[in-house]
Amino acid sequence: MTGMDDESVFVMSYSKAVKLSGFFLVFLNTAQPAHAYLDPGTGSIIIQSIIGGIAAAATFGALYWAKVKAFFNSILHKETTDSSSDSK
Amino acid sequence: MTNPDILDGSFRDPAGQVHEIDGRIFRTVTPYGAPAFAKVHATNFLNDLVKTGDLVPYEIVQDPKIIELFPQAEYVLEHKRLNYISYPYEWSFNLLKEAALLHLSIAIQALDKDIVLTDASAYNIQFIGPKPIFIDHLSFKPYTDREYWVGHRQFCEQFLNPLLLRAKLDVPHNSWFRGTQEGITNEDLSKLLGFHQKLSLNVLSHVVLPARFQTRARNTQRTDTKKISERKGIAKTTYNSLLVQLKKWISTLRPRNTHNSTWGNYAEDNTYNDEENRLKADFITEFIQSTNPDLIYDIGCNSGAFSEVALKAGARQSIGFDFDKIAIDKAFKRATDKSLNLLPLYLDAANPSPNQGWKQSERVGFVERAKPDAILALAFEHHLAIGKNIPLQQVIQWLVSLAPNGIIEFVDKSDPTVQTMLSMREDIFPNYTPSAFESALSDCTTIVNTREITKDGRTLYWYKRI
Repeated sequence: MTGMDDESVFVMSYSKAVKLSGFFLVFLNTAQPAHAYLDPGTGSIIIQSIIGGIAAAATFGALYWAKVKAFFNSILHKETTDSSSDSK
Repeated sequence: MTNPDILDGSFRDPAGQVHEIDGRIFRTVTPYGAPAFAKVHATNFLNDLVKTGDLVPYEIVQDPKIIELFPQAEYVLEHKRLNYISYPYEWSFNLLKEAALLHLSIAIQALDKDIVLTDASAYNIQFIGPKPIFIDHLSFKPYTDREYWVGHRQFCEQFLNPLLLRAKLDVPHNSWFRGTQEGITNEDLSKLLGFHQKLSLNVLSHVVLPARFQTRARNTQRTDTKKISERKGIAKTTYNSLLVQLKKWISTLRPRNTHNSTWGNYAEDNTYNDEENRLKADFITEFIQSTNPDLIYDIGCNSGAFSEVALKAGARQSIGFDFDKIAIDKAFKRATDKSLNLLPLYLDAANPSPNQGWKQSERVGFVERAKPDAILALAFEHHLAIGKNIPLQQVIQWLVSLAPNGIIEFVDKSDPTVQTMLSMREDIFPNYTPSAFESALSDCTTIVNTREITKDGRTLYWYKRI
């Protein structure tokens, strides 16, 4: 964990929180408005769920990608520190 | 005072109905709709919309004489009355597009304040001149966490798909929409789109896939489909991005083929020269200054050039009518560019909007809709009398019945346009002559003045109904 900046630590803890809340959301039986007088259409509801799922996955993916970048950053940082100390 | 009638068209809304009394417009809010309305009203969001001109101004009525007429209502609202009502099937492409963008803009602003729209009916929008305005104050309610956008399907059917019909296939939506009253379904549009057109992510998300899922849900056993109450909904950010993406996409939509239409280029290449146009404009200006009309109909308005003349001469408001889809979009552009109180609508005069919908009174027909103070029917009557074989006398009687004052232009057979119309057919119009026209017109009106516009046979007639 050495060489990791605060940002990356935050990202790692946040992604843990997202994973946890994901679990909660699946089990949470949120109330949908029961008195809508308009038929939303099954097709529309399904596509909204899919888009929502993709969006959630994308957010999760972006956080995961941030972790990956942070990891490579830490490697590079170590390398440049080594090389700069060499040149001294 | 007898029980005020519900204005047909608002009877479906369980949250409240619209009534008219002595020319004033009132909206009742039922006990069902009251809690949502109260919460939304308290946030002041509706007032913000009124201030930007996006929602019809309203106030909660305190007058006990009005309140006692509606004993069942929790609240009674009074709305500013609109001068003219129009329907989505009468709008040009650009009017429908502006209405769609307004709806989404309101939905996005509302969601930011944790308020949502309960439906997405195109009839919730009206126009003042070329500018759209939202009219359903009871369409708003507080946002419930993770709720779906329940208006999505209706939005696609009433706004998106009609726009796509023109943008992708160059087919105007008017006749189809007038027939179904509720827009164009995803399933129907999917059947018409080309394969490449269906590949776009936007088209897939909002038209093709929802149609596919809907068909599948209908065909499989009903018990297989999850009930909406069992689903986990979508995040507020997802809801918002649906609205934002649609708004971005719709703002890029344009009619597929903006150049080919019979009368679209009329304003540039027609049978009048500049001097003749000036003669027309002067005569119209005299007419308007003398009759001082509030509301005029410009029948056969084309790109709205003479509505512009009339409005500049002092008419308060013009509704333009034409059946050429490109012409009415040009008139829309003129109205927005020059800030004119001109609303250009689609009309086939031989087949005007009828009374229709539930009890055939939900949507009001063309003639019953309003009583204009004056009409302009320029370069128009020959399209009905020659083009559609309607007896000249009936054309004149119909036009004259619309307003007490007006200008009708007679286009004689010697004119190049009529010559073209008759070139491919037998001349079955022995009674289509200037004297027959004048005689029919003076039977039901006084001819106040006339002016010859072109040597080839175009003359303006200023009539005043007896």
